[in-house]
Amino acid sequence: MTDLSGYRNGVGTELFFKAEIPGHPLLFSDGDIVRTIGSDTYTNRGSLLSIGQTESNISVQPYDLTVTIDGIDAANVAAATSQDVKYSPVTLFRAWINPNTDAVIATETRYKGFISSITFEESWNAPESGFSISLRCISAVNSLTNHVSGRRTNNSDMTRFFSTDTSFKRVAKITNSNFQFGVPNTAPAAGTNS
Amino acid sequence: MTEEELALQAEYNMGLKETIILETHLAGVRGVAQIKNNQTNVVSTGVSQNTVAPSTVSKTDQGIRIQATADTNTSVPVVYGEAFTQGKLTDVEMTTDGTTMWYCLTLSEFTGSAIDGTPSTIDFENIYWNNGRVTFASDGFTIEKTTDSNGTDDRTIEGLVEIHCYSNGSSNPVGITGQAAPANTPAYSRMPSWTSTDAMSELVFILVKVLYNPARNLKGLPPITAQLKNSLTLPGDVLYDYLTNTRYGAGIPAGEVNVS
Repeated sequence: MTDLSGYRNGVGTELFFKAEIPGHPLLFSDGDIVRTIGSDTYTNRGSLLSIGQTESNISVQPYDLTVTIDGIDAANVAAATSQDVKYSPVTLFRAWINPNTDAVIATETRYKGFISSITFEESWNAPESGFSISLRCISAVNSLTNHVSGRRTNNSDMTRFFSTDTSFKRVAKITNSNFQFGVPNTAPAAGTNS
Repeated sequence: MTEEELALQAEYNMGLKETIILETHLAGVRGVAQIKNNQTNVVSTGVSQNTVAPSTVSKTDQGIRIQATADTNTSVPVVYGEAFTQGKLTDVEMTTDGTTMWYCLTLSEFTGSAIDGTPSTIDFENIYWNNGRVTFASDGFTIEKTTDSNGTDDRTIEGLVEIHCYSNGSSNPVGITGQAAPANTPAYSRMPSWTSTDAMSELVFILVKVLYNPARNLKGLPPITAQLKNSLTLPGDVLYDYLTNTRYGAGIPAGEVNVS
């Protein structure tokens, strides 16, 4: 937890949104100036960036989050229509701002998740026509409950992970197949080395 | 010798000669009778075999019907720390002469690395055949004896069953901890119908070869349990592996997990 006891006269906050879409990273803040945190530069969207409600729980709870961006430029449209946008990781964090120097005091992560869906909204009411993108995100905590089911004992699952491995190709054939152990196999059937 | 003594000797010899001839004749008669008796015995024995048919048991042995219970929808288990597992049947085949069955039991996924990057290892601590702990012969895979919980040895299946252990794919045969190591023979060179594409990638498994022997009650596969020991034992290492593994875990990128 950040120690803010030295800022008794007040402290500013800004929300930062980072979507790591391959080739088209989206970096926004709801502040009014461009800020660089780490190696990332966040575009100031001010009130054009709308972040859904976040929750603070003592225990880790998964919840969905919606991020809406208005007044977007062409680069952002390209990012939004990228094929890799789904399941791109997103991070939402809050920065504490020194009101005297306007510098970032510290940051705290509020949300980590992945983009699950994307929605475009366009209005044609001149002169107030607008275009917005809504990114719906699922929490990274959800991914713990949505973990993969593991490799099952069938050829499809095996080849999904190891494309040339044929080790499980006979499982379906031998299921409930019978063998007359002790008798010469004059009529080889499924599951035998016919 | 006087003339009288010589005459008695000649008379004795004549009598002895006649006796020998008579004995020979009688012996010939007895021989024919013996042959006839032998022929009778042979015929009698043949009838007996056909009636009781003790020797025809092996010719008409119907064997025993074995049904494979493989399931295509079962997830391969993941073993951390130390565990006993019976595995999942993923292949079974019988040789064309009907005398040998081969089974493949898949025991566990082969796990990833610890947080510090050390690759995990999975060792075979013990194999239990029908609840008896197995001791292998010097080749490292042929069962020599089993030992029950009371310490009693049982050599009933000695030399009739082979168990080949593999950890991390078909090309990595391993022995039982504290016992002889097997030759470096890939699993696809053991299992009759397998080829090099049967790699059993990143799996821990055993191949079991059973020779049919009803006299020793060896007519199938009893419960087999493997005692596995994974080098990943620390909770942090286990959780990290599970969180990051894309095959059996949560698939979270490693960079997303704070390990500091």
